[in-house]
Amino acid sequence: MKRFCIIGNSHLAAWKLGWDSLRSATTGVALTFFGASGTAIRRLAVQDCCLVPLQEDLRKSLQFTSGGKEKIDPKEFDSFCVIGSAFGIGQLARLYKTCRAESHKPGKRSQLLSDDCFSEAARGLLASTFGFRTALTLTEVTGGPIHLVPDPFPSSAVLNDQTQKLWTGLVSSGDHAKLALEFRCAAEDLSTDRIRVLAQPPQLVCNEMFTPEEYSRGSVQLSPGLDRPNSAQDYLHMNKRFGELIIADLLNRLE
Amino acid sequence: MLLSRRDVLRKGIHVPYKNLPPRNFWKTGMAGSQDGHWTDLYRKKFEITAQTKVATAGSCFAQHITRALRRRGCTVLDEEPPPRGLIGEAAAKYGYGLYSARYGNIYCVRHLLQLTQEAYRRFAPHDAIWCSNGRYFDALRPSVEPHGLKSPDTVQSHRADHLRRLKRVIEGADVFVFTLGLTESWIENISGTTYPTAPGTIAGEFDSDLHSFKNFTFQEIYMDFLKFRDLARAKNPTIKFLLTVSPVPLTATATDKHILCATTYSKSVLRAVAGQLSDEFSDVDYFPSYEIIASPAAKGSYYEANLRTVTSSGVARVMSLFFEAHSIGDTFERPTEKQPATHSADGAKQAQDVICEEALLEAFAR
Repeated sequence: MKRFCIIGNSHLAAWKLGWDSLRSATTGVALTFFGASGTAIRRLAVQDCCLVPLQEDLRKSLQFTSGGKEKIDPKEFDSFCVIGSAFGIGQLARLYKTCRAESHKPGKRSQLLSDDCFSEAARGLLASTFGFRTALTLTEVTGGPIHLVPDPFPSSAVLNDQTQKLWTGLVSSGDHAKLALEFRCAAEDLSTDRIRVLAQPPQLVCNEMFTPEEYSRGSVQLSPGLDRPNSAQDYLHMNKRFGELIIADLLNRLE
Repeated sequence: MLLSRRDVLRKGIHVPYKNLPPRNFWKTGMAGSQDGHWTDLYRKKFEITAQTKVATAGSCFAQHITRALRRRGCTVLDEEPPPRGLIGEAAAKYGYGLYSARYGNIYCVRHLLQLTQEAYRRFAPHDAIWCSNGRYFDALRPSVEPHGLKSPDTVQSHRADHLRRLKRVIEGADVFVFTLGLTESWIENISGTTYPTAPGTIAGEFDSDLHSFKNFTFQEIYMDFLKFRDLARAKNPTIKFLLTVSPVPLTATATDKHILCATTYSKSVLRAVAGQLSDEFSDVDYFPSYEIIASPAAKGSYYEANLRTVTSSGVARVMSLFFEAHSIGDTFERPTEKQPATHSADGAKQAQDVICEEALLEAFAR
């Protein structure tokens, strides 16, 4: 039996639903989820070679998502996976909002950066996310493989919403492909022999940096029951089907 | 016959030095002070508080000043801040956070003047884009993009953006702190464009028909600063200026003088210009960082083993006297065991932790 520890934030909801659907048909694998919405998993600290919650809310959330465990004991797992937790293309999109690299279409009020500088800032932003930091913390307590699965690309539905100017502007300028490439390169640069950043599977990507709309419809919040839907304007969270496919891809790759 | 001090006092002879305070005599102002803790060394002309909007520029020693001001919570303008995600050394590598804008080191006053004139369309530099290995560099701040940019047009776009931000520095500052670093420079012959580095050092190529060496004189530096001051005051009538002279000796000289003589000449001229300006204008002050580091009383202890790099305790000494005079934050802390006034590996690391193009010339020493 291969035991996976999956740590994450609100994106864990899709994973948990996906695993609930795959579990009965999957043998030799056990997934245990540890998560909390927002940035709460930043409050995990190393104590006695375990990751323990520093806040009561986080403790409760770990209990709920894992089915009763209050801390993460690395000895109980063979492999580790950190989900999302701000490590995603959204970081680069926000950088693009205020700064443009020399190869980007110039923005009216944007700060001009060289391509090198933009790349370095992108790497710095991703390295400062609590997803990457959680992965780094894991390296202190386990010698097992650690994978980092970025936040899903935003739903392609965002491109039909004219209030989402950042994303629509990226596509209309043609810079979305450059930003997607930048993200892939930064993720590759941050991968080490201990932390491997996994790309979103190609079948779950459209238009370079978006997730097909079908995988975002009906996404739910990470809360008891996993039945509270996200708002229709939530373009960042994915559904059960996405969870099924990304878990299948992960298990496939690790085999 | 030589009169004794007692005779002078008894006979009531008028001597202009008779009632001067201890600071006016070497014996009491310097030799008699303990551990070089001179009192009343600097009398400020105007107040600088933590709220004063300070702009900084100058030679690499000015980076220490900028950093110390920021650490002390002073309001140091930064009109060209690093993008999100770029912090610390990574930001400094691209010239961010070193000064109030990303102009890199400005060693000569002529460079400062031309930069400001360019921002206000009063000067157009020539041969200002250098090429190296297919990449293009802003010759007037060649170190801010370590790998250069992809085209001359991109360099121009970046420079235009930089100049817009420089105007905000000039127009927004209450006090402009400038550290005079060098008299020696390299210029483009037609326009007089003054470079911070010799062509070919970081990028570009030296062409004796196009470029020449220039050792600025007292008169030139003095006039250049006056022109800079006039332009800055035209845009910001209440701006004041605080001058310092870098105590860092020259790395190399292009004159036919020995490096020690060239350094002494250069620093003497800069010190004289700063003194003249400060004596002449109420809005120009001089802070004696040069004297604190380089005086015989310091016995060379504020220099690293290379006799050039200023130690971290030297920088701390300069800044503590500055903060003390301006009542900013803590008062002077004497060197402790953690921060000895001697050469140390850690001290060298910290003190050398500045971006300094001039130091690149050391590579040419045989």
